[in-house]
Amino acid sequence: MTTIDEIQHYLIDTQKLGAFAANSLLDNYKNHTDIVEEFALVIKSGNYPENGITSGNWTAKSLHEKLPHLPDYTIYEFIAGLRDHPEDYEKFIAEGAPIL
Amino acid sequence: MDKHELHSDSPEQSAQVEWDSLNEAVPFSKENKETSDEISEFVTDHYGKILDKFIDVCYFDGDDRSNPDHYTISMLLGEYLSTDEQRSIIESCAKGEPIAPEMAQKVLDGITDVIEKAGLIDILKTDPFLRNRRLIELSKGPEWAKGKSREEVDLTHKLWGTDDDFYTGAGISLLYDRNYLDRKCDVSGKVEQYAARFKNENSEQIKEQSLASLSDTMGHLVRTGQVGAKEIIEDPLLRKRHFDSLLDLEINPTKIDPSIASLWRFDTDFEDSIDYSMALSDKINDNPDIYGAVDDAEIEHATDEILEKIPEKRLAEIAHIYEKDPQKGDRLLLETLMPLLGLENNQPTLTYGVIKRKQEKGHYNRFKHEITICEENITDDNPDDESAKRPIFSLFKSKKPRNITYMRMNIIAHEIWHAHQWAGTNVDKDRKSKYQSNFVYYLDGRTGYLGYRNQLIEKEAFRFGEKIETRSRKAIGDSKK
Repeated sequence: MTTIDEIQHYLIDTQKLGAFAANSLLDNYKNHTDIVEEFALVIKSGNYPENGITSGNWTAKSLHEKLPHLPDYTIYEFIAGLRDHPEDYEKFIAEGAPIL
Repeated sequence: MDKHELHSDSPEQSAQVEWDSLNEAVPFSKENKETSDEISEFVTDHYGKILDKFIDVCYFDGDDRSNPDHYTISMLLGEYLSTDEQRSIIESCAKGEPIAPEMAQKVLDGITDVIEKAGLIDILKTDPFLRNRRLIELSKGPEWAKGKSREEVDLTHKLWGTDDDFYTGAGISLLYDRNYLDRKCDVSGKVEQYAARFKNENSEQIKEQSLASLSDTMGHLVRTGQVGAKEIIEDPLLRKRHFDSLLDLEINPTKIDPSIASLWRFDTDFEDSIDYSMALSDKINDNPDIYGAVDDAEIEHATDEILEKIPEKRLAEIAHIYEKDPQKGDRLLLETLMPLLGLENNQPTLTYGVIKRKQEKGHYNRFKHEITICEENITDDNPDDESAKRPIFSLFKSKKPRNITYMRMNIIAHEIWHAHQWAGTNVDKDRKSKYQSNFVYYLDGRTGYLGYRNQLIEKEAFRFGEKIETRSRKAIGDSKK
């Protein structure tokens, strides 16, 4: 099973997301191999790495501390998003990524 | 004997009474017994129209569309006619050829029986041909009553009792008796039947009809808990029909026939359990102006138009009230915004509590027209509150509101803006339609936070909330920390 498959199974079977939601999320970070690999490790270990990948001055761990209400798959969406859409995601972080 | 006295001992007397009552209410001529040609002509003419009408009413965007989960007479007739028989009738109608008399007779008998058993009595009453035939049968009088129980006789009287609306027209009124179907129909068996028919049919008309029947049956099974939503959601055609009908009924609840209004309830727990996101892929591609490519200029215009009407002084007053009593602040802010958003006569209720998705700070529930604030999720994300540090002379002045106050005003403004979007007040028809579609086909954060934020209703609501917060800060002379 590839790493992407592992993540997909996790999103669908553990997080109970539908197939479309899972695939939409995967689309965000599947082109970033390093992000995919780190996320897969996080899924297995249950912990964010201390010295993880940095995107726009944020690591997954620091994002989680700042935005504890976000699930891991969204944290990694943000990590990827800070590369692909930095302005948008920095704004979301500054606002606290609210769900209203 | 009083001819209106029903509960006599003799079935013959009872039937005679029954007949007399009916004849008095519905005079007709016993002599006008139709010929087989007339039956054939009637069924040819009516059956095709019945099917068209019911299909139009139930499955397409006809003006008379009611509940998309109606079981049509054609479906009920499925219990009386085989697939081949139905096909031959439909094909005859499509070609404009008369239906064979023996087939027409069978259809007519089936229609009449089914209609009365389903309680769709108004159809029998208002269609002259059907009424006449029914009464001819009943005119057998005592013979008709033979072998029938008192309950059956009573029921017939009750159904055919004097009705002021008896002669209101020859149109077909569609009444839906879901309870009848729950009792009578082996719906799970019908899933396979309709699915097989859909797959094996060459006729597009029958194929569409079968698909509609399948979809409606599935909807019925889901609502009655006999199957899960999975089967509907994962099949692209069923999914689309379900959501399209859902959208239509949400927007136009008056299309639900009053007779079933009490049966049709939108079950939010059930709907929340469905993974709508799969259905969204269809919508997202077709509607970029709702998802991902929203017109920012329109949003600025729409929000500024309202914002300009709010006196800054009022926002400052409300912000100070928030500091003493946040819930009072919520109410005052809503009272200020509602008239500007056209909601003064359609005010949403305000509640406090836990929201289903635990990270939510606020939520607008369109089914209840209710705003819920989850206070425990509203926390100040800037603990070093600069507004608390003041030069000594300012001790004599009011303390400036905390960040959390502005945040809360932002949230209230966001949610009331959703209420305005759903109600479609003060916007044109096109925009209202987009709003309402977006509510039903909604991207929650689980499909991606960016998509959630960039869809029309959220982009706009977030913008409005931001503007209220900024304007409030400006009113106080505060800047964002």
